[in-house]
Amino acid sequence: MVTQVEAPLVKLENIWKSFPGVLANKGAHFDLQAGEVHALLGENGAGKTTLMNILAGLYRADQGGIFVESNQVEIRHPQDAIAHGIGMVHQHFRLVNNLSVAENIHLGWEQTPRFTSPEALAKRTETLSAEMEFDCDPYALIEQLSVGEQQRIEIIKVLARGARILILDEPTAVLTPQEAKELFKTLRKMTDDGRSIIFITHKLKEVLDVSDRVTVLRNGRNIGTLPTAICDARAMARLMVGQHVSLPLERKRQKYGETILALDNLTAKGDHGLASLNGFTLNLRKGEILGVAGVSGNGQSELAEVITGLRALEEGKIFLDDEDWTGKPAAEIAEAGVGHIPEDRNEMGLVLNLPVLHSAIMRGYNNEPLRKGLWLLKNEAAALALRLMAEGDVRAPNIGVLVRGLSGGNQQKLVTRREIDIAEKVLVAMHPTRGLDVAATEAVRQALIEHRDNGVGILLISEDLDEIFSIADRIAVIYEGQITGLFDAAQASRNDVGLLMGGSRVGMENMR
Amino acid sequence: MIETLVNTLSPRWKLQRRGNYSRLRGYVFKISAVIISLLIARWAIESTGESAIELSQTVLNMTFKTAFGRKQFLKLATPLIINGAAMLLALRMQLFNFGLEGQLFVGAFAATAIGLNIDGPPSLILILMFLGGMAGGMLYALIPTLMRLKNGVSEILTTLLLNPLAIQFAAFIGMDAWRDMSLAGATANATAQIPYELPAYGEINGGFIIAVLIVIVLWLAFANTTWGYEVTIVGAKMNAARYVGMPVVRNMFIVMLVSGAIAGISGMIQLAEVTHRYSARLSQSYGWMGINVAILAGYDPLAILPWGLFLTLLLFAGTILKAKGMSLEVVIALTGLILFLTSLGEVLANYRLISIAKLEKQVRNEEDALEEERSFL
Repeated sequence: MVTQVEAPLVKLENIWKSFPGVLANKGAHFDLQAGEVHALLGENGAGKTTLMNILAGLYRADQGGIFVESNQVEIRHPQDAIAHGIGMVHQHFRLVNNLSVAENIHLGWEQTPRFTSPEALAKRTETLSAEMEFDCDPYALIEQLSVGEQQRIEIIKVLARGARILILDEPTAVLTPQEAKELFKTLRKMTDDGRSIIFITHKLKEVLDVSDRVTVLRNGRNIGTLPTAICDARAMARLMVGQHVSLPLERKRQKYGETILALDNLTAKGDHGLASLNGFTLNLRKGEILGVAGVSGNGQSELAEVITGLRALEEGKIFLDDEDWTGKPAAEIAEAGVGHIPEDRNEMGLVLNLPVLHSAIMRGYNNEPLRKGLWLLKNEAAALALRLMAEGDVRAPNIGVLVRGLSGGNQQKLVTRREIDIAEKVLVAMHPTRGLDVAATEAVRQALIEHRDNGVGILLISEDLDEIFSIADRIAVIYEGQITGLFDAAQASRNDVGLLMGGSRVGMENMR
Repeated sequence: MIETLVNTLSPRWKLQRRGNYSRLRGYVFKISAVIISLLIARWAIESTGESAIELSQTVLNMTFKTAFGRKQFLKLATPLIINGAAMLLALRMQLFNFGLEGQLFVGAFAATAIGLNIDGPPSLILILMFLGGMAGGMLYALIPTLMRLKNGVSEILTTLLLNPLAIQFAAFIGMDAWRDMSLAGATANATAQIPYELPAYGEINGGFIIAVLIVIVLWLAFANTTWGYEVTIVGAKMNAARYVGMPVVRNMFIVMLVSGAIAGISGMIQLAEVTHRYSARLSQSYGWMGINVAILAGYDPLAILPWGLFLTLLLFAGTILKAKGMSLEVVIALTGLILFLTSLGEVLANYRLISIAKLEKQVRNEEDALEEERSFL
């Protein structure tokens, strides 16, 4: 354990916080020294964000004390937090898309002049960003900015309000590797200016890259606080997960078969009528995992939906096994052997308020042996549900419990197994491990790999580069609805993929 | 919200959401809610000086001790059960068919038109009237259905607004177009008598048998058919149904029309069994009470029968209270109270109260297990 040299700048003591059905923090504590970058590490659901939301005034703790410079303070509201110099940049930005940068920065700020003009606000914004040595165009609308730029506006917003302590919640989740590197530089500069930073993450590499100390949370309580200098990734993973972490998945070289799914010049509109796929062309082969990397909102959702028949194409053709399947309805496509692990299991993949049985038979109910004329055969339905649960290692007391009562990992394992079960040819997997803990993530990835080894083509659409690099055989980059790069995983570099994700077209020597 | 309320009221207890659902627990909560409502009603009645026990004995005697009472009871239960079934079907798909009353009137009108204008063997005409009732209710439900499916207009509003139209049309038919001039007094303003009556089997009227059959068919459809499964999924999560490619629009169309058809049947039965003449007095808000029955039954088709019979008993009590000089509104208020408390009970059945002390004990056990691991640091 680290010995404390000076009194901490901020201290959280014995914090308890409960939500219906969950104890998010169970006596957690945390301290921050002036001028350090302190990483808060833990799995999804470990209580990191809750703890920091308490410090930032979004939640109130059931119990426990907050100390700023050794004085106990009451933080009931984000404004109390900022009065103590504490500001937070949330994972989902709190910006108004159709307002300008200057307007967003001045929105809801006491120091905004009562009567003002766009020019005056722009001028103030320029002065502010110059002081902080940030570049920004005060007149630009938020929706015109890249995600990395939007994040910078969020940081300016918080700093302008006088934050000396900056909390960043999973700031790299939405960034390309290059943008992340930029961010880390910015963080260093801020600590040099005497600010302190709390960095919430579940990525070990980032902790090692950027932090001075790390506090590990698991299941709502502290596991320990260590100087980063004496840590390595494996030890931290063990602290974070509480069990030995298995080695990176073995990548068996596959012999690829011929093309199973050919996507030719796909063009489609998104929900808001804007073009989201612009001439997307890609071939998926039997027995491979083809990772589609990209920053969210570049047409990934639409891609998954046009392949599975949930969205109409404007132009282009889809060939499954050399047959033209363009414009076929969703049920027929599924029937033909195309599975789909959807983006959001709660919105699409499962019915939370019905028993597990209902969600398990969603694909099978309309076919032999479940269906006989008008009738849905109950025994066969139960048998299918039990088989999927057994094969997918879905842990539930019985098929009658509500899906809501299952853990996120078990829910996702259920969806994954159900879709694998029908995916005789192609499986479209979108963010298959988002929000899962390490064990469930491993299980889902292992299932995908096994299914690939059965000769099925898997299209893995993910924002998580770690995921793509750990299981994909080939990597494609999607940017503004087009493929801007295609690599063999063995030859791909994170740097090139990252650049392409950000819209750059350089560094394509390794492309094929 | 409820969690916040409990947590504010007492710092020593917490509400936890339950992960599993038990049908039995649901029943226990609902029945407790009814008992609490009845106790409150008893207190209200006794505060007026009447004896609630005596009153309820009178009600039970008048309803079940005489053949006449029993017959009347089943005849009154018939439209409540049928409309309960119609509403439950729509609710299972999250469609709000608040137009049952109007569909009932239009169905009855179609049956009247057939009964008054076509001659033939009674059984044939009754079958024609039955089909006409179905078609009438179905057609009247078609208007809001098309508006919803083609243009996205909320069916809640359209079904609601079509009710007074149907009732006023019935008034016009009874008072003007097809008025039977020989009638006078309280029974005036109605059409001529329809000379066909549904058969009865002992004390059980034919309409009641039809009502039970409808409930059984609905139960079988939901429990054992792929169609019932689709409707359940569409109602519970529309996006999930779309995602697996279920015919969402087609099922919505079918459900709305069948719901209307069932309401139309209750109109025909009312005509052929109770009033025998078409007028605006044909239904005493039975379409509306069907909504109450469906809400009390929750999503369980078989529960329509007991809840339908129970609400019928309350209605009966109302008429008897009225004869005693009390107001009918007491019963309406009681129905409202029961609906309110059972809905509350339904929500509460998903939660469990847990004391902070117990929670802390759980946490301490976990803590002990962790100590060992920490010493490793």
